Amino acid sequence: MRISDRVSGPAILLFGAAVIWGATKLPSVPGVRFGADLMPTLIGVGLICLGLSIFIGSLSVKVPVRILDLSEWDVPLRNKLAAIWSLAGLVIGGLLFEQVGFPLMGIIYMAVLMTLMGTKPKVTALVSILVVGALYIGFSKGLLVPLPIGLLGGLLP
Amino acid sequence: MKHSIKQIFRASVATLAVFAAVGGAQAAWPERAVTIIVPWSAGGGTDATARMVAADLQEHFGQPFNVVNRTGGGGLVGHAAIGNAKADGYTLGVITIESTMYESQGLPGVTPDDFDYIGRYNADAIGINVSTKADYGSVQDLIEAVKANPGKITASGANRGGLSHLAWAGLLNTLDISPEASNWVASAGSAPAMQQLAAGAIDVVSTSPAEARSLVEAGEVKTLALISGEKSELFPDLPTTDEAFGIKWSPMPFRGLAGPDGMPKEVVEQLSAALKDITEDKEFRDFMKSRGFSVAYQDAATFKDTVMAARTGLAETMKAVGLAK
Amino acid sequence: MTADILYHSLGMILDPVVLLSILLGAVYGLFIGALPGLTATMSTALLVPITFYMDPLPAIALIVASTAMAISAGDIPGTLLRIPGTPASAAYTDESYQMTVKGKASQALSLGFFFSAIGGLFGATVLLLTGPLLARISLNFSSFEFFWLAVLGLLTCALVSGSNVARGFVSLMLGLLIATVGLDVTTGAPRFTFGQIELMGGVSFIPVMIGMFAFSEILRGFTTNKIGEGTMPQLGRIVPFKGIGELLRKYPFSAIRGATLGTTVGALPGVGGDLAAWIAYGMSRRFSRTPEKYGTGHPEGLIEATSSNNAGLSSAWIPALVFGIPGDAVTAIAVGVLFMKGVAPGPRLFVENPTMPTAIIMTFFASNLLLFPLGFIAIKVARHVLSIPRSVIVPIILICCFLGSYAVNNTLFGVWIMLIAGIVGYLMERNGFPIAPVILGLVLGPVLERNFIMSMQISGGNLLGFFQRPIACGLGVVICTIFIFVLLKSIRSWLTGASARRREDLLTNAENVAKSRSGDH
Repeated sequence: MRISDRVSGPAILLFGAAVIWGATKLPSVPGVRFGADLMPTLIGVGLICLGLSIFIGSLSVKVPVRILDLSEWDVPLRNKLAAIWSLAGLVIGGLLFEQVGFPLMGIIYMAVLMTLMGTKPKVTALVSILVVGALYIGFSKGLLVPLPIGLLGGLLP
Repeated sequence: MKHSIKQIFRASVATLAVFAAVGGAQAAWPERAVTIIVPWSAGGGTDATARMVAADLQEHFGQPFNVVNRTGGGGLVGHAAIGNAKADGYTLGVITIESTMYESQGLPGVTPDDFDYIGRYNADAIGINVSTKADYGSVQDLIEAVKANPGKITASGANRGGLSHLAWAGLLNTLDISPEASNWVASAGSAPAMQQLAAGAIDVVSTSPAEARSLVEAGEVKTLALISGEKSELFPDLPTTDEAFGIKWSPMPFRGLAGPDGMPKEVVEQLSAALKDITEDKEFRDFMKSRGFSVAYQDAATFKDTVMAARTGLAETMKAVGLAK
Repeated sequence: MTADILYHSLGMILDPVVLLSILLGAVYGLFIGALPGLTATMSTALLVPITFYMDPLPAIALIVASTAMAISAGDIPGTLLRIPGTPASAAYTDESYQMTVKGKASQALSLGFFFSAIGGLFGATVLLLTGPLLARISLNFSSFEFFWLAVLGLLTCALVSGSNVARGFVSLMLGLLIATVGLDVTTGAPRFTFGQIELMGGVSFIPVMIGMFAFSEILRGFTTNKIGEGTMPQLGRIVPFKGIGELLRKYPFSAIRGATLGTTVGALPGVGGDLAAWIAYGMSRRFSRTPEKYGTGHPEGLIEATSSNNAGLSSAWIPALVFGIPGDAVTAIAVGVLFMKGVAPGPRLFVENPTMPTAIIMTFFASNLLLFPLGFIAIKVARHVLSIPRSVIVPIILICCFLGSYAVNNTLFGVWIMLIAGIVGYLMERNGFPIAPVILGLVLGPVLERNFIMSMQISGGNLLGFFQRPIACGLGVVICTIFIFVLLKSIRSWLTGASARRREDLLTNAENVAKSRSGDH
């Protein structure tokens, strides 16, 4: 996805202005002259200048550029599905993380993605179970990261 | 392809329901690992003491007590995580005096009412440190200098509104000097403040004598007094401000064990008794001494009183310096 | 430093328990560092409970060996999968990944380990010879001097962001802005947190780094590879440490310059090795005879940055050992462990018990020497990572991204940050905004802001205060001169129309890079 500089330049400029506006809303503390708002204000000013310079620069480019270029996503449906699942799968997995637990969530996520990417079912099953199992044991037992066991809690020690 | 995803998903939701129904049977606490949340980063004083306490609790109860650091937001994130955890006795935390201050600062998330208190194991007063290059012979000299040159003496040690700041500003306030007579420079903790002091950019750092120890030994810095009412057992030579000025101002940073409000009573009692044993253990006392921390046990009820007293005392100071909202 | 002390401390080091600790620490560090998303700090924190039961020297040896190894091994996922292991290695992750894409993974990994070891040995030597002296100097640095150093770090953004400086600075501003999220240090007030308690703790750079580099790379992969056909980049012949001699002949000064810089900057508490790698990479490009090759898989900048990285790691112990002022989280933990063992860091340690600090420094030599054999094995094993088909490795990387961002603070919050950073990073790269400056901004933001605000509060808002201390004045004058020089140069090139031409090249250029990154030639 590509956006023309004639759009992104002003967008950066507006974002900078929004940051400055946000900074003025920060609570001021009596007796503090240089407080929480100083740094965001400076960043906002910087963004406004940079947005302006990108916009001016885009005017001098002779080659016409489309406002929004999505041509790179002209790929087979499988690619699109895999890309969507790589994101959406983690979102769903995250939302159900505590209930389903890491092992099951990880296995399902990996298995679906591998299937979408064209791995053979046997390899898929083997790799997803082995990798997730190793990661689960390594992280929760070795590194003491508290990973929820969830639904598999009854089956595993 | 899409179809199979749906099937897997449906199947997993169904299994979820079954397992959720089976789980939930009760047994004697602790029947599995207990998590101890530490609101400060790994390697700091709170973390080190928490890990020591956790190791001893593990020995005592025969179940793992895992320390988990939940840092950020000046301890707020971790304290909120302790206060909002499930009150089943399997999530506990080490709380510090900052937990009493968020409320007055207007930060949402956690108040001292959100905890069930188990016990305090450590409390150390804050010291007043100056550079050896400046010629303040005693804490009285320093206070006279603040009085004589309002706005000239710069102090640091934490953010504005942090405990270091409140201890120093509260001291000035108790002595009827305007807290603004000494310019507070906000720093991210005591280490950068000590660096500033050694480099000669500021005049005073209020922090615990343990944190100042190395630079004191190096002859760069000297500790003038403790902002406290009680002498320290580890630094017995240091005078306290209460005896130096005949006042009462004793903001003591503490470390203690607590859990979310509403924990089973017998769990709190078991833990409180275990903590008492640990603080009497020689190995633990030696460890604390080696880090420059004093052992100061308080049982659940006394600890709660201490916390609540700190809550009101600090809120008043914050109003006096114009920080409370 | 007498021969007697050296002899005694050597004896302490050669104790089997100490040697075993170093070896175990190194192997452990290798694993932690090679796992995406796990950092040297985390590996050290996990060691603390174990050190309770150990003598002081083996305990410290364990920490030293594991961090030295974790920092170097952090370059492995960066090189092979574009997942930087540390904020420092984010400075050169693109460069080393480009080498992998070009089939030179073996060389990239070899030079990473080799020059890490060289840098680490250099830093350890300096620590041994001039430790207390250097610490004395570093103690003169106040917020004014730190502010100027942070500004110098920001200026390197222009050098790491390739042909379009304006876009690089937009990325930098974004990083600086993300760094302001959370409870403000000055007032303790929440900033840009939108009422979320998790946001009050700020945004950790680890999930941002994982998302922006690794996740965005995978998203891009879906657009350029036909599924089922795409393979990982070719590894080339794996011969660890082959061709290092040639690199040494070709770029004789890079390693020395990088190590010197790393040692100097690393010895300043609170700034440390992270900044050193960025400045080293930028400086190397500045002084290079072929600056146009940077960013395309050129080893020169890598040598300089990676050696400064490990040198800084060693010298960060100088202020920690001599004055008990820890420069970063790792040394903070180590200082704690030392106190616990009754070995109080401080100048008295060097006077009363000089064999102890000398022995500690010796463990640095041993750990960095271990980088050679363990690096050899790691490179041998690493070949298997790239021989796995894309359709298998991508899901594995993604689940590691998930776990790595979860483990930062043991909450899903890190995962959400990682996903958002991934999408943003993807969009940024597609539009020619470089990613590395975002990480630079995230790392430098707090250093810059804290020291700026502190200095302003000390001087009462008088900007002349930034030039009143001798070191600050010197740094300030140098940096202002560089800035004015760069500004004049870019105005001149703008007037002559050179930059307009360059901008037109940019989009085609970005296109090519994106293609080659995904290994689809």
